[in-house]
Amino acid sequence: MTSESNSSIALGFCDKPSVEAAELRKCLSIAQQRLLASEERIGILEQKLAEQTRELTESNQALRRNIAALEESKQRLREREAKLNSIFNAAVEGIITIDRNGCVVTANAAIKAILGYAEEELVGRSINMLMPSEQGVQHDRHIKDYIDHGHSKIIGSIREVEGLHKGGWTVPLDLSLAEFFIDGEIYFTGILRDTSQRKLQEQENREHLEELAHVTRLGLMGEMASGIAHEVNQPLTAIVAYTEVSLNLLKMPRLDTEKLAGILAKTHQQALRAGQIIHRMRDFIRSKTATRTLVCINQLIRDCIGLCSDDIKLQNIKLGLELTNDLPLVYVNEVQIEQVVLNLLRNAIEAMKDLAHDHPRRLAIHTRLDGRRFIEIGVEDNGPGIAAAELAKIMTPFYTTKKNGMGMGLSISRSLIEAHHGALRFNSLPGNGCTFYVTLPSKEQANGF
Amino acid sequence: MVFEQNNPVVYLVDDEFAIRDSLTLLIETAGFDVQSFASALEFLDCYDPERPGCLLLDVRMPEMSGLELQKALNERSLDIPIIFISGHAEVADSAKAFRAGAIDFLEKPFENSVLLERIAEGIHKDIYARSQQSLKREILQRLGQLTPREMEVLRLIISSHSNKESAKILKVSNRTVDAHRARIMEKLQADSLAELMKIAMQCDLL
Ligand SMILES: Nc1ncnc2c1ncn2[C@@H]1O[C@H](COP(=O)(O)OP(=O)(O)OP(=O)(O)O)[C@@H](O)[C@H]1O
Ligand SMILES: [Mg+2]
Repeated sequence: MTSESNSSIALGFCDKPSVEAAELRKCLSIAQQRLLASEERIGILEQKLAEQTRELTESNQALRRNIAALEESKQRLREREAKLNSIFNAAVEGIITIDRNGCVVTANAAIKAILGYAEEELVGRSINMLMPSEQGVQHDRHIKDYIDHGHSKIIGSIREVEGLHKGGWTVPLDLSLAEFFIDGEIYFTGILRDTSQRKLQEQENREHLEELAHVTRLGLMGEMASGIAHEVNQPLTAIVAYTEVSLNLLKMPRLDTEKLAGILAKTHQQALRAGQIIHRMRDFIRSKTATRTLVCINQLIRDCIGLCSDDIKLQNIKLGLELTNDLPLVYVNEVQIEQVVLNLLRNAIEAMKDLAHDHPRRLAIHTRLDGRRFIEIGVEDNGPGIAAAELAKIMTPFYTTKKNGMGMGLSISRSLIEAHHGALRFNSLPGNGCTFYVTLPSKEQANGF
Repeated sequence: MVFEQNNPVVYLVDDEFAIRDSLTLLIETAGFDVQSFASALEFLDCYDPERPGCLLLDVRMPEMSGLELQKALNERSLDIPIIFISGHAEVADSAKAFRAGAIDFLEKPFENSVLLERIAEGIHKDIYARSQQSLKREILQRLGQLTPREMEVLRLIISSHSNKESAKILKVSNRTVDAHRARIMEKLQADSLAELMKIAMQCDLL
């Protein structure tokens, strides 16, 4: 196109005079220069065009490659999703996802096995339908709190909760929670494990321990029976004498009411004392003792000492009590803890039995606060202590060094204390006696369990 | 009060206050003097053997048991009648107690009437033993008045020798033996041979 326009200009000025010719030449040269410049530009443009074409081709190729990769990754994604789906549905754990309002988004097959609902029965409905009613209300608040304030005790940790089965019964669950975001929207995924089986096992273990404790308690009582009978006979003997005296007073011509009242008051005291001992004993051999109550540990220790006082007296044992006042209460199965304390007292008393006749015997019992949250009971004797070779064995079942021992005392004591989330330890100075320590969580602490 | 020194007394040893308190009341009501002690050692410190009485004793006590106290008393030849009272009726304990001369072994709680009966029995026994003791002392004193020769004759008579046999053994006349015999009967205040034999027995000559 450019070359065509140049030739038409040249033709247009041929017939003019020479001045004009000079003008024309000048024009021509300018035009030629322009032409040259244009040609140069065209060259550059052509070059650019070629480059662009090449780039375009390259990016086209890259695009094709990308498309292929995309196809492939789409395929992989599909595969992954299928794989995840199969895991999702094959998992024994129930997996359920909810949105910020607590509405179910997905639920896996295990949810049906655990809680009885199929996914389609749940999607779009509130998660609260899977909880005992009082938990549901709290749950809504928890979600809201979490979204508003961003802190929660439950995200990331495993908690024991109860689920509500479609059939109306509750199911014990371990629950762990995770959160994630899609397009800025928060979602929560809960993973649930049915712990009924484990709970059942725990329950069985507890019952087994309870039975064993009961049987050994009966044995313990059997061994202590004669001492206890003596303890009961004392007040009874006094009562028989006091009442006889009272009857005699009544036969007197002048009734001394003041004296009579004094004697009756003492009779009353002794009757109460006998009753208390019987009461203790009856509680102690009862089989059903499952309930835990708030107990003052110092009182419990005094009761136990009361049951051993005959032996303590006979062996001429000096009893030292250091019971700290105002200790927090403990939340325990009273009879079981009594059993532990009695075992320790009896072991201490028995340990001092073979000391030389004139060797002073000392039994020291203390209670104190161990840290802020535990209560410690210590039972110390000055018997022979425990030889190094026996240290590891004494807590094992049926280990005994006594002619009439069963070897169950310490092992059952340890199980009972551990069932209370406490610990049983000891410290022995061979030749100088030993101290057994029981630690139990105080009431405040125990509430957490 | 000095004259009461020889009234019989019931000693009560039990480490339990309620037992001491109630039994003291009971026994006093029955008309006896009572002295109570919380331990065997305390009793040993205060016991006056001159005074008649009986001992009401708990078996199991710290430091010194009732059985140990019984043994200690026997060793010192203090034979006060003992009635044991025990919260445990252990056969072994009661057998030991009876062998060592206990009057009874009562299991707590016991019938008060039985206890009071035993106490009366114990005191009676002690008073009787004491009168026997003083009688023996008196007879021994009479025996001390006999001459050596009269002692010789007495031994022969109580070992069933007739006057004649005795005279032959002692190489004296029958009449001399008769005279000795009359002196012996007089000094020992015996009316008959039977009484003489009884006295001899009381003085462990037989
Ligand atoms: N205070 C102590 N001093 C010395 N040894 C002890 C003491 N307590 C326990 N032992 C030792 O530990 C052993 C086991 O004690 P454990 O109470 O379990 O059984 P046991 O007392 O022998 O029999 P039982 O079943 O009647 O209690 C004892 O036989 C004894 O050797
Ligand atoms: Mg034991």
